[in-house]
Amino acid sequence: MEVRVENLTRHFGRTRAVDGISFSFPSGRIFGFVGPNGAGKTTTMRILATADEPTAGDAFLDGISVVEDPEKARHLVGFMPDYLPLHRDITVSEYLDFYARAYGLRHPRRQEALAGLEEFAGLATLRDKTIQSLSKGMKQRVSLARALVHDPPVLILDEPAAGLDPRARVELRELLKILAQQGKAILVSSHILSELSEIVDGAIIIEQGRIVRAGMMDEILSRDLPGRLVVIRTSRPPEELHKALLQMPGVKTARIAGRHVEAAVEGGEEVCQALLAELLRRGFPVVEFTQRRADLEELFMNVTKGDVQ
Amino acid sequence: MNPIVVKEARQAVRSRFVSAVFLVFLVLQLVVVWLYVLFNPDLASELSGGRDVTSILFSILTGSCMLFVPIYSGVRLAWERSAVQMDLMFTTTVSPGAVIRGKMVNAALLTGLIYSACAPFMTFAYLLRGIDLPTIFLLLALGLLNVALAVQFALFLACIPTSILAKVFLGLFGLGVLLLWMFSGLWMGFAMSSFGPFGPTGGSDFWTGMATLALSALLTIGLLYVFSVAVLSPPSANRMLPVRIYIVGVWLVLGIVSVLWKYLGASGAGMEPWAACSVAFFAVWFAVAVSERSTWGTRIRRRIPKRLLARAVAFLFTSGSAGGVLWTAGMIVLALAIFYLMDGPVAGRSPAGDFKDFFAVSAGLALYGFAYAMTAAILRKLLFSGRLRIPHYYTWVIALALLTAGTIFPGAVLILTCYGTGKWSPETLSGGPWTLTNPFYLFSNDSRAGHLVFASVWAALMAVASIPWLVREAAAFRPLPQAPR
Repeated sequence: MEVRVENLTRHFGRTRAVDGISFSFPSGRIFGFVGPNGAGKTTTMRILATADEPTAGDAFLDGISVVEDPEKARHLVGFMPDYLPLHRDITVSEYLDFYARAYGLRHPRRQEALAGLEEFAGLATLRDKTIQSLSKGMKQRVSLARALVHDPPVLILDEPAAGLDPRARVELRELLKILAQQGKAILVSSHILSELSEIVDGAIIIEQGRIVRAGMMDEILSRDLPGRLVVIRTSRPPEELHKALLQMPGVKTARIAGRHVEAAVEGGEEVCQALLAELLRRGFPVVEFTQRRADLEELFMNVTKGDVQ
Repeated sequence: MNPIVVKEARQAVRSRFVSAVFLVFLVLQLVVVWLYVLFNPDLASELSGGRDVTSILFSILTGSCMLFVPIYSGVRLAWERSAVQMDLMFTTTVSPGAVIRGKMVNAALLTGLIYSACAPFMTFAYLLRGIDLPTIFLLLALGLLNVALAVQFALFLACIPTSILAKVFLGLFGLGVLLLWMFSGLWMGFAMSSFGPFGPTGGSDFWTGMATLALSALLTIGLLYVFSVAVLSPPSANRMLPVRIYIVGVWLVLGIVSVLWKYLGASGAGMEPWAACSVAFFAVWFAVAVSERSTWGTRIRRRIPKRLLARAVAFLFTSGSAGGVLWTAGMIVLALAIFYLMDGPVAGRSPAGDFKDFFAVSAGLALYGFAYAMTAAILRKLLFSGRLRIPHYYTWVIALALLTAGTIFPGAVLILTCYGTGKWSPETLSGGPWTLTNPFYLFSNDSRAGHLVFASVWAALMAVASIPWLVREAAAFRPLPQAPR
């Protein structure tokens, strides 16, 4: 299973919301889809979910075109939009039951699927409440459950963490990891990049309708942010360590942060190993030596300009 | 079971709005019947009480159902189809046909609910005497048909991808047509309630009129249904296939009934109504055909047959303006040919007189329809494909504007330029070259020949101008090349 987007274009009048983007990601992986507001994330996701049609280009879910065969593609994709369309006068269980029916799930299987989903998304206590009476976070849970109702191999999640409380966010991250382990291909957009960094295997960064970076996190980071940040603490005064670090090979910059010294080093893990060895050789009693990779947030800030259209 | 029906029924049962409308309807009936009984103390001696009360109740019932049920169903679907926040049910595997059918069934359930609320009052009307049960049931069936038509029209309107303003305009226009329809139904209903369905009014003319009204309502419902399904289908699909199959099916069945009617039915019956309806319908359909797309995606191209003959037939039944124009022209030619063979000189009828006039008017209307539609298509390509762009699906609007201008504009210019100059007389307006673009002058014996020549020349010019386009489109209609193994 692979999700492949080819030269996807979507114009709204003269605005090029999506401007010929191409990317792909495999099953069993979580890909972050990030970009500034108005970058074209939601439009791309809506096209992948067959909720919109591209002006040009195509997207394929396991080789099935969302443009040419949307009916087949709909079996494969679960979409969680950044909003839950207003459904008046319907309870949570009825809402999920409707979508299970709409995906063709028949009686005994439908009941099993709905019971499993209610448990998975923590909706058991909400099943008899009407949708309009739910909080934003609760609606997000219902929306996620709806996207999963037909057990699709591809999940498109637009801002799933928006409106969730901290506990629910942690739970969502765990849920997404479980779903990825089950072999689903997951594309998730979020503005909370620090949280997204913790779960994504890859990222697609979009700005003004164009792809800025796309690929596995390791590949992108090693290309764009090859350096690493090393946080060191010794039992000697930090000023002494700071001075020594600035003289060592591979260290680009260093700064004192309280009792720690942060050193930006050029190169990979071998440079960090050499740095630690050199410190020990010079007799610094190292208490703490932590290597920190740049994350999605730093990458995003580094490669985007913040332009909106 | 259709998931749309389950969901909508659940929502309707819980909806305060539906409950409120239902209660208002009940109260209204109660008040009206109470007032009628209060102000008619001679009810016991008169035999017209039941008839009057039925007429009043039927008016309230039809009016309520025709306003509430279509608006409720149409607005909900339009909201769900909103481009900004399209309902996610359209990203599920539920088919467009199931959506429309589900909405119709739900509308039928609501109508049934309102009808059931009316049932006790109708029973009361029957007890007042002056009306029989067949009349009441026929009235109710007629009202139900009206409501079904209104609901299907509202659903169609909700499906089409256009602005709210255009939908409101089309809705008002449709409401006008539906009200006319409803009033003719009411008139027939009142006539029936006065004399009974098998009384003096219930002659063959009455029943023929009633049957025609009911049949045309059913056929329109069917057409609007296939149209709505086509609009909801993905653009990559062959959206027009079910529409054209439906039209050909209805056209064939009506043609066969017409032939049987002529040979087995009442003496003097002819095929003119069928031929006239066919030509008028397909003449208008030219405008629909030129508003279709002109490219096919891989989904359609995968299904294009390789054999030439099968491909030619597929071309006529595949979404696309060129195929649509050829199909429409073919249907008109077939209709006129069948009419000529079955009810014309071949069938022993004199080629002169009525037959000649009818044939000339029909052919003229078809030629005008083709000429206006093709002119609109050519104008759109020449003038409105650059910065000032009109999408192909609005070509019918250009055709309509041209027809309006061609019908009104020359006469208006004539009046403005000649009025008061001594060259003016009312007769000037009814003849002469300035009426040539007005197809309705075909119905005038004096100007028919000139209009027919003009329409023929105009249509021929448009046909010649369209040949490269038609050839190009037909040539492009090829199956996908097979990938090398």
